[in-house]
Amino acid sequence: MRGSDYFLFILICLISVTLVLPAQAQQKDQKNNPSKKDTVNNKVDSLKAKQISLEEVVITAKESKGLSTSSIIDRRAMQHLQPSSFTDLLALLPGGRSVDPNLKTANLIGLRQTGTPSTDYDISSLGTSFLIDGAPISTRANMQYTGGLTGQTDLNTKRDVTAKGLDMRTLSTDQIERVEVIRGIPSVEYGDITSGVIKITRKQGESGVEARFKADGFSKLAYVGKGFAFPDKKILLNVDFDFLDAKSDPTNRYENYKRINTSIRLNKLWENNTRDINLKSSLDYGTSMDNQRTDPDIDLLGVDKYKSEYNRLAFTNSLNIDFHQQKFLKSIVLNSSLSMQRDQINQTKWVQTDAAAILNPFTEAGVHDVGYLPANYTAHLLVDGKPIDGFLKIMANMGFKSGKVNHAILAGTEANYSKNMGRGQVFDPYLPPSKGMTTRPRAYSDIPATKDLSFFAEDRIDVKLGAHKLEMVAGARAMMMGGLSAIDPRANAHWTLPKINIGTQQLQIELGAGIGWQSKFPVIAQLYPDYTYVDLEQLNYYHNNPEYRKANVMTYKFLVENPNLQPARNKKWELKADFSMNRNRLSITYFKESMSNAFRNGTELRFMDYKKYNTSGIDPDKITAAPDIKDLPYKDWRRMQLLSVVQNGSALYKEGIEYRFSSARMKKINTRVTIDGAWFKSVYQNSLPVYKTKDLVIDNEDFTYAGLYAENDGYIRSQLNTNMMIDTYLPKIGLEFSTSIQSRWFSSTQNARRSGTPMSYVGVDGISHPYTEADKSDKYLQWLNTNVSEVLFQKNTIPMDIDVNFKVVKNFKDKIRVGMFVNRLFNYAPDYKVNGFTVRRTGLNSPYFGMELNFNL
Amino acid sequence: MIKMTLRSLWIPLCALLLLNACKKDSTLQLNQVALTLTLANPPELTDAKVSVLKVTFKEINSGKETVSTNVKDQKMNISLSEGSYDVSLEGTVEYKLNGETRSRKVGALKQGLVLTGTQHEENLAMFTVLEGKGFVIQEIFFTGTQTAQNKPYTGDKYFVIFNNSAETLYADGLVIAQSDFLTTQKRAYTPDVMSQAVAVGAVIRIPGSGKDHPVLPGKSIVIADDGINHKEFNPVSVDLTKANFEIFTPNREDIDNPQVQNMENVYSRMVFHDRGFTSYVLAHFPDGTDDFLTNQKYDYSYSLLVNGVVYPMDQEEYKIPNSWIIDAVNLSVQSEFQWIVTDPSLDMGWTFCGKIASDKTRYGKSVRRKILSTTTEGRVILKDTNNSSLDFDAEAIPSLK
Repeated sequence: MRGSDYFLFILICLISVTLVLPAQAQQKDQKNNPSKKDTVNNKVDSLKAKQISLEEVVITAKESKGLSTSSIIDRRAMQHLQPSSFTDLLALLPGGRSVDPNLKTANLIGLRQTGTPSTDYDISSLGTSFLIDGAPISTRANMQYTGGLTGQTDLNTKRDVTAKGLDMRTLSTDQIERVEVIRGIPSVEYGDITSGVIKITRKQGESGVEARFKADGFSKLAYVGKGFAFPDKKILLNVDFDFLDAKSDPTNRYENYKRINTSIRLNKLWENNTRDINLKSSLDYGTSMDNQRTDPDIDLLGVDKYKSEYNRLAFTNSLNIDFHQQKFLKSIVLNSSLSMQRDQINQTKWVQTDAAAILNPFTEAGVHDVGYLPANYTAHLLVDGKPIDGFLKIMANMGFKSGKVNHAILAGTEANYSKNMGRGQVFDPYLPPSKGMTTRPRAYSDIPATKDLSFFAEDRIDVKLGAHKLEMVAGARAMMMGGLSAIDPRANAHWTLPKINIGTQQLQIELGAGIGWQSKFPVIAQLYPDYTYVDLEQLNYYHNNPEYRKANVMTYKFLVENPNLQPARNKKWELKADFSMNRNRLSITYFKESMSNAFRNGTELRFMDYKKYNTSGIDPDKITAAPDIKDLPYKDWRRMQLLSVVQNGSALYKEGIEYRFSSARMKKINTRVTIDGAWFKSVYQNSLPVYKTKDLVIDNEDFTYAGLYAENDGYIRSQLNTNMMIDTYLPKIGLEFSTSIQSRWFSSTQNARRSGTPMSYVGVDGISHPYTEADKSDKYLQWLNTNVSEVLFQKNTIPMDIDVNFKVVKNFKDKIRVGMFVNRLFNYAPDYKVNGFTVRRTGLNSPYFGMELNFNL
Repeated sequence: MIKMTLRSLWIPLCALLLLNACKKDSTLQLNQVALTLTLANPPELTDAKVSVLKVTFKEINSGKETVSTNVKDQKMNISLSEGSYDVSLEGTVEYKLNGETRSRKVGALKQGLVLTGTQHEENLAMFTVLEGKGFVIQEIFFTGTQTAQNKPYTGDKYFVIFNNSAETLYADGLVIAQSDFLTTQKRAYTPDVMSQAVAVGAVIRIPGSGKDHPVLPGKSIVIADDGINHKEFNPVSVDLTKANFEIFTPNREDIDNPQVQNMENVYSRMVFHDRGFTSYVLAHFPDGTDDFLTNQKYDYSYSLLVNGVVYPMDQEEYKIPNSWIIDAVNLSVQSEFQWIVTDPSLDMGWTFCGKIASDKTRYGKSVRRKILSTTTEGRVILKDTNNSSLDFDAEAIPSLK
């Protein structure tokens, strides 16, 4: 496979070179043509432009001036940041912090929160939509989980993004021109979200051959791109290719991650007096591979291997028709995309059972005579997913004026189609990937497609009242998928106050407010869960003579669907204030978000009857054939099982203040100071009571009681941080450098109060009884009552720590840029005490550094 | 002016630096601590007097041992370097019983005694060593074997219980339990019950009505994880088809040999710790399993420190009172050992297979109790001084191999 990777790499390099070089020559011809006078004018123009542009060079995120609260990260900022994947850009958001790229686990987004305490709160990443040139990257049909192998030790667990949204590792940044992260209340044009929208606009237009090479302690990254312009045909064409090779550790070549992204984008414009038509089409191909195997020096067998591959081919179109002469209809926008994926996990595992174990290969419920698994064998698991996603969105922009009020109306409709055509979980049921598996092979192609349809409309008004200016947008989005539906009203308002004169300066105050609901539909894996198989031993007769061995099981087959599953719905409201004076700007946003029906794996009780056959009546030394259950006496038995079911049972409450101050660039030293940060408080808890039992054997029997608990888990987290960035831009000597002082003043974690005593309990009879004081000393029922120490609910505060990061870029005639960065060049993290324990942090941080080389030829 | 002052300071400063450089590095000299150890007699003995005694002070970090036999008026004065010590005592006391003078073996253990400063006083409570007269744990094969593919094979583990007395004893109702705490992980568990009971994570019991399973003097019984011929799956393993009992848990991917009687799973599932970090006890429940399961639940808590965050942990298990315990064996490995997880009166030492964590050489080895003597009738008596360090052969060849 390594060979074929390199082959692909070389092939694409060759293609780009053959495409690029002739065009380069053509371009040079054009450059040589213009007359001298033009050149002089150009020079004057470019000098002027430089002075203005210097002020506009922002290497941090900018706070948008629009109605929705959002951060804008442009090419400049990305160039300065020197990212490995999209994840790194999030360090620029309020509350963000530079962290070392972690390319060995899935990277999930969590806007406006401090950490994700467990997978039950993955709604934050699932509910964030990534749009590339207007088309969403759908993860609805992703089902790359490994059945029967889940658990912290499984290699796929940390890379599994089923029902978790997009793995940001797969997004490279070099094709991106601009990113807008809508943290606040987005327009109704965006749906199927709870948290936010990431709008990615990719590079369009003519450029030289751009190349970037980055290396750090863990990874190597290469990028080549080129933009072509055919002015007479009004066509722009962009071609990009990038490659990343990362290791988990520079000394470990057995765990690595590779990514290739390539794209061809076309932009065609048809202009005339009545309308302009702009068509943007792109064809993208991306692949990534996670590989992990054990070091052959440690594992002599070398059987255990894991490879997870992701391939995505997408064809995206955006058609924009602008009408010049229409009074009411201003423009029509049509976005569409079709993507096909081929995702495969190939896992080989050496399975060692204790001695031998009962084998349950049957997919039918009922009584089966079964055999025994061998003591060890090699198991193969293939998880084959082929998601196909289609997207179509049509919008019309209309406008009219009534009196002083300008109306801009947006109305449209969106449809999405998702289907997984894969072969699904493929393994030999006679050699399963793990013993005692509760799943069987399953084809994803049998799962029906999901289709959704939405309609949306909003009216945006702006009105001037004297020196005041008021902008407001209000709208709603109605969405349907299968039997599910949601209506999301959203509104934002922005009030620009008259400028206030302070000395020679003018202070501009702007105030804003917004409220909105956002809903996210469940994904296919949540709507169509797999069957759970429970095999209960009725007879387990492992005779010394293999001829007489016999096992019999009662197989139960459960489909734990939740017919009451609803879309997760988040309510957001926020207040904003923005002050600007002489290019110094301060923006502050207060937000509050609440969602009480996010998706969670809850529990459901099921009861199963079976028989326990008694072989004590037959003498094992005298039998001549394996026993048959027909001839054996038995006892009727009952067992309970808690099964996992997707519920609307998670609650997330987020609150915070985001702030950003950016100064004007100080003259002469061309230095700008940007201070940003956030205070976040995030509360995560369950919103539905939960059944819990103990996986215990007491007095020779399985524990068969389940308690119903009001609280399951709850986490209260908060943090306050400030990042101060001092960046200096010296175009004369082509140098830019920045120092970022990133302080986290505190971060705290606290467990929400919960009781270890159940409200009620259920035994195998299925009847619910209240849990009384007397039950606390019952032989069995005492196990449902857990002593919960008071210390568990204490607030744990980690005091401040400060990192100093340094970046420097040298620009050689705008052709070559050489950059290097050191994160945590200095680090201050004092030791502190918790509950009498001293937590030592001094000297534990090692810097992360790397460098990169950019060409623009 | 300032410049002048600085200049004038310049020379003495340099001189000081030079002087400093000439100063000899002080050699690392550890302070001596005068330790007064007061020995407390076992409370059940009257008029007890120490006759023979040996106290070993083992410095935990350096491994250096200091032995003293110098005791006067139940007190021992000794000068030791500063450090952390494990103090163990072996000896004999004379005491009065019905007017007669008798002698008895005693022991004592204090783990992690920190000595700093110039003086230190410490009490050491002695306990009587009851030499094994009944059932003892003869062997624990907890490591399992290794397959041809160098993978651990686990179903072939076993216990051997031995009748160390001169009478026929009945194994009915005999309990084997695995400690919940690890000998490699010392934590402040609250409430601390170690002086009264052993916290256990898994308990199995030999079935029977009282006289079903006689064990003759000097004979033993085998309790296997799976009572099958493991050579079928792993040629270097053992044949356990002749085991007296096997551990079987239904619906847990286990197998049941009808030719080997099953143990009762009193609590949880007995899974041998294959690196040998847990200890095992042999006990008898005086009031039956129901009484144990109802009244001996042990809820405890501790603090777990991970990546700078302290997690308060609440845990629930069972505990077996020390008075119910017949025999105890602590297991650990040298590189990881932190404490013994029983009261020292049950076992004041520990034995092992492997010297480091996950030692690959441990597979196929067991711990076996040493033979003390053989009687004239040929009955073997095993050594049982309640000190597994002395009583056991570590890294022995399994007896059933």
